[in-house]
Amino acid sequence: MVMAKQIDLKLVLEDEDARIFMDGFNHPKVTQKKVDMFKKAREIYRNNRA
Amino acid sequence: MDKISGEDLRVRRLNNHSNIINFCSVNDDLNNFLKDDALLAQDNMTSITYLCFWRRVVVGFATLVAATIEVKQVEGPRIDGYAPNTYPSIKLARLAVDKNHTGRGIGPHLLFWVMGKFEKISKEIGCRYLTVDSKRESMWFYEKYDFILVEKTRNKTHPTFYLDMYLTRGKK
Ligand SMILES: CC(C)(COP(=O)(O)OP(=O)(O)OC[C@H]1O[C@@H](n2cnc3c(N)ncnc32)[C@H](O)[C@@H]1OP(=O)(O)O)[C@@H](O)C(=O)NCCC(=O)NCCS
Repeated sequence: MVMAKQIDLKLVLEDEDARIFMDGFNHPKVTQKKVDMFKKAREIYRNNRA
Repeated sequence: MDKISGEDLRVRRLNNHSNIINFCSVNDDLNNFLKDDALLAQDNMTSITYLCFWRRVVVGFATLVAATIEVKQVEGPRIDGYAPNTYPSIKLARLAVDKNHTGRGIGPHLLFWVMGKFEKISKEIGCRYLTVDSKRESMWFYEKYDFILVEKTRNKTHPTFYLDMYLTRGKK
């Protein structure tokens, strides 16, 4: 079987990257920008269910 | 060139009949993936590719796969709230816009569409993060949409970003 070019499926976070990630996981920041982005995302997806 | 209104863009799943032959982004790897590998990978269920159409022409595409983030315990002070774990994610494995149509809003349209798709999937299967291995020349694009750069990958050929999709929960 011919395989598609490799896509690395696992992201490993260490040190400061791990710390930032865990902090974000435990205390997610609700920014207005993100709320607006996801609202727009929902609208675009709703008009284009594929 | 002018921006294209989102209403004139359509996103459809790649299939045997999709006319992708004329698609050409600035990146040959991405072009080759679309033409040679995408459909096969889809048949093998290892990635799914979505095409963006404008006036029935393919002007962009995005490829998605299930992925994972592993957080490793490290030397030094204990990470607050740390539990050795892996976290489910969806990876935006490929994203490209036809070189004749960059700067017209197609990249953002596809990215937002992917976020919308993410929200739908995450209501059925647990996943929280959208990840991407960027091209160095496209880092600005993910920074613009508040993706977090994995610092250790900053100087790599493909710096990695992730976006916490947590806010999608319960915000109908
Ligand atoms: C990166 C890419 C997906 C962006 O898609 P796009 O449709 O061109 O994005 P946009 O329509 O938002 O256009 C770019 C916008 O960013 C601006 N921009 C362009 N280069 C920029 C840079 N280096 N830094 C900051 N802003 C930049 C443009 O001026 C435009 O701004 P505007 O919205 O105010 O007019 C597309 O250029 C592409 O396919 N590149 C090649 C493949 C690639 O790099 N894929 C992503 C990594 S996998």
